[in-house]
Amino acid sequence: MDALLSALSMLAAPDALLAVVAGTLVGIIIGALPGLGSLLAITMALPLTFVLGQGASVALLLGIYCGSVYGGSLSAILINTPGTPQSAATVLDGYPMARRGEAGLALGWATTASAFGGILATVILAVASPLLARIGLKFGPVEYFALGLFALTCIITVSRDNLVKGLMAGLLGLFVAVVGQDPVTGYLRYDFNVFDLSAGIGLVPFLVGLFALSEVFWRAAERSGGGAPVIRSAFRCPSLGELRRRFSMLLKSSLIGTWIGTLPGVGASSASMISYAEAKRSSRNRDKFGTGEPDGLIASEAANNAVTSGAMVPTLSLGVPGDPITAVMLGALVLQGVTPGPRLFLDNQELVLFIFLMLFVANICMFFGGWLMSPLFSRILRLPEPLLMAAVVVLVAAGTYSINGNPFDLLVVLLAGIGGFLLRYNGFPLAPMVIGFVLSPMIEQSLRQGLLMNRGSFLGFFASPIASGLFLITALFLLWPLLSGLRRRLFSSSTVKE
Amino acid sequence: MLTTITRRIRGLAVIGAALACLNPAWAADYPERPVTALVPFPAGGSTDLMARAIAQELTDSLNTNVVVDNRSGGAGTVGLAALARARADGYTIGVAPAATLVNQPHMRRTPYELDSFDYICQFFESPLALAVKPDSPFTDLQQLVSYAKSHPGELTYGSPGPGSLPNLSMEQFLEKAGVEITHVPFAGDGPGVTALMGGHVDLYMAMSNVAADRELNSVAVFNDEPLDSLPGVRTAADQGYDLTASWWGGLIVPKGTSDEVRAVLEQGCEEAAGSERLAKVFERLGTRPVYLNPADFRAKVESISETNGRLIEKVLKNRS
Repeated sequence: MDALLSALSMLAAPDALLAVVAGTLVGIIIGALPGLGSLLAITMALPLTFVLGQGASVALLLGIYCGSVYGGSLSAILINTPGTPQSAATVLDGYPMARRGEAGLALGWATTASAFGGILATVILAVASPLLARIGLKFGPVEYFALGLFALTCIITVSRDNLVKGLMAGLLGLFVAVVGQDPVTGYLRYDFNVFDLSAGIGLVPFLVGLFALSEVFWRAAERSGGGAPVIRSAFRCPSLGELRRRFSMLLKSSLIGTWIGTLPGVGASSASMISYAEAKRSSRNRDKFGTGEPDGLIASEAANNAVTSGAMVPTLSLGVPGDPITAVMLGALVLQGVTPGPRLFLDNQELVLFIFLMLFVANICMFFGGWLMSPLFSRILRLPEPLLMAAVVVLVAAGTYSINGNPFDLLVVLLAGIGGFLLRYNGFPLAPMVIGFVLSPMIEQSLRQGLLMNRGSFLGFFASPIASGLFLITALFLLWPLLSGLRRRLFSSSTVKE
Repeated sequence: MLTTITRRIRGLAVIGAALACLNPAWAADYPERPVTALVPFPAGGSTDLMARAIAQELTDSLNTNVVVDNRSGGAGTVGLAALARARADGYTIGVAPAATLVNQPHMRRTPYELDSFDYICQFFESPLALAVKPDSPFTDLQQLVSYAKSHPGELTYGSPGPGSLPNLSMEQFLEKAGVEITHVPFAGDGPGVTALMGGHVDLYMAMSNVAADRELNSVAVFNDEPLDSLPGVRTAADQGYDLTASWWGGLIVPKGTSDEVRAVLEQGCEEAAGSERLAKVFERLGTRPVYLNPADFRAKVESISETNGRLIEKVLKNRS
C-alpha cells in the first residue's frame, strides 16, 4: 500500500506528467513518418534522461514507446506505408478501408484498438508479470519455430487474389532475409564479396522501399490514367454497437499481443502478423480480410500495442530485453541506477508500480493524441499528389539514412522500391514478401538451433507439447478449406437423403 | 589607395589560408569543435553504455562535446568501416569492442584491418563466466568435464553468436579440456540468456555481470582472481584450466592521426579511465574500468587476433 501511494505521488509530479504527454505526442509523429521508428525516437530521447529525474525519464521513454508504435498505423492507413515495421500488418486492411473513403473510421479503429490493447496488456502485466515471465521461459528454439511457422500461414490470408503468386512473393521474402551472415555457422551468404551485403538487408530500408517508394512509383505511373481517389476523412470513433460486436476480436488480439510481448526476441512486427493470422482463422468476417475489414485492422493494432506492455515483462522481471527498443529502455533504467531483474519486484516495488501506472497513462494520452492529431495527418493527404509524393520520397530517404548513416541503406530503399513496383505491376502482392522477410530470421535460427539441440532429429520437436499444439493449429489452418469442403459435401449429401 | 588595401587584405587572406593549411602545426588547439564517437552497435546495448559513459568523461577532460553516433550493422563491422574511412583529424574517434577488431576480420572481408587504426587505450574489460541452467547438476568444471567426456556432444552451450568472443573462449576451453559440447548460437545475449534460464541449453558463456544480475549459477569465472559479484565461484585456473576470457574494448582512431592529437586523446582517456564518476557508472553496469596504454592495448589486440583467427579457422570454417 505504501508502495502504491509513493508510486502515485511519483505519477502526480508535474514533470513526469509533462514528460509522458510530450513523449506520447512526439512518439506519434515520429512513428507516423515512414522510416523513422520507435528505436530512433527512443534513442533520440536517451540523452535527455541524463538530465531528467528517474520518474520523468521513465515517463518520457514509455510515452514515446507507446506513441511511436501507434503512430505507425497513421501512415499505414493513409498512404499505404507502415510508418514503423510494427504496423506492416495494419496496411493490409487499413489502406483498403481508406481507399473506400472510410479513412476516418479506420483511424478510429486503429486508435481504439491500440489504446485498448495497450491498456489491457498493462493490467495483465500489473497482475501477472512474474508469472508471465516464468511461462515465457518455457519458450525455447523449438517453440519459437512452431510459432514462426504458424505466423507464416498469414501469407495465405493476404494473397487472396492469387495464392501461387502470394506464395512466390512469400518465398522471395524468406530468401531476401537470408543474405548476410549465417546465424549458426557465421558463413557469409550471397554477399558477392560486397562488404555492405555481408551485413544483410536492413528491415527498415527494405520495408520502406517496398511499400513507400513503390507506392510513389505506382502513383506516378497511374497519373496518366485516372487519378487516385481522394481520401477524405475526419476522425471517427467506432460506435458502441460496433465496438460491442468486435469486442471479442479486440480482447483476443490484445491477449495475443501481450503474450507474444513476453517472449524475448519475437517483437511487435511478428506479433501483429501472428495476431492477424489468428484473426483470419477465427473471425466471422474472414472472407473479407484484405479488402478493408476492421477486424484485420484491430487484430494488428491491438496486438502491436499490447506488445509494448508485454515486452516490459521479461525486461523488468528477468532483466532480459526482448527487442532493441526495450534494450534501450533497459539501458536507460540502468543509467538511472535501477537494476531490472528478479529482485526488482521485491526491492523497488514503487518503481515497478510507477511503470505500470505510467504505461496506463501513456495509453490514455495516446488515445487523445491520436484523436487530436489524426485529422491533422489526414489533412496532409489533401496536398496535391505530386507534392505529397515528393515529400514522401524526401522523408523516406532522410528517415532511412538517419538510422545508421549508411548510404548503402538508400540503395536498398531504391532497389526495394523498383522491385516492389515490378512485383505489383505483375500482380504479385507485396504483403507476403514482407511477412516472409520479417519471420525468416526467427524461423531459420530457431529451426537450426532446435536441430542442433535434438542432434539433427526433427522428431524431437514433437516432444514439446507447446510446439506440438502449435503445429496442430497450423496444420488445421492449412487443411481447413479441405475439411470444410468435405464437411459441406457430407452435410449436403445427408440432406439429399432426407 | 583602395587597391593597395585590397591587395593587402588579399595578401593577409592568402597567408591566413596558408596557415590554415598547416593545421597540424596548430594541433595544440585540438579539440576546437565537438568530437564524434562512433559506436558500432545500437543505442542501449552494452557497448553503447560503455561508450556513453566514457564520452561523458572525455567531454570534461577534452573540454569539448563528445557526441556518440551509433552506426550498427554487420556485427559492428559497418561502424568500424566508417571509422576507418573517416578523416584522421581526431574529430572522429571510435569505441571498439574487441570482437569487431579481433574476430570479424577473420570471418568476412572487412574493409579494414588491425593496421587501419591507431590505438588510444583500452578502458573496459568484463570477465566471462560459464553459467549453467537452473536445475543443473554441475557445480564445478571437473564434474562438467567428466560428464562431457563420457557423453560427447550431448550437452549444449549457448553464445550470443557464431564467432563471438564467448563462442571462441568456450571453444578454447573445450580444446583444452579435450571434450565436445554442442554449440547453439543465439542472436545476442537477450534470447540466449533467457534460453539458459528456461533450461533449453545446458550452459551459457556469459559476461560475469550478466550472470550476477540474473542470479545464474556459474561453474567458473575466466579471470585471474575470483569476483566479488560471483561469490563462491572459482576461477578456471584454480580448477586446473589455465585460461582467462573477457569482453573488452577501447578507443581507437583512424590510422595517421597526428602525434599531438593522439597525445591529447591518450591523456584524456587515461584520466577518464581513472575517474571516480566513470568507476561509479561502470559499477552500476556491473563492470569496472580497466586501463591499458596504447602499446599494451595494441599488443593485446594483435595477440588475441592471432589466437582467435586460428580458432575461427578450426571451429567455424572446418565445420561441414
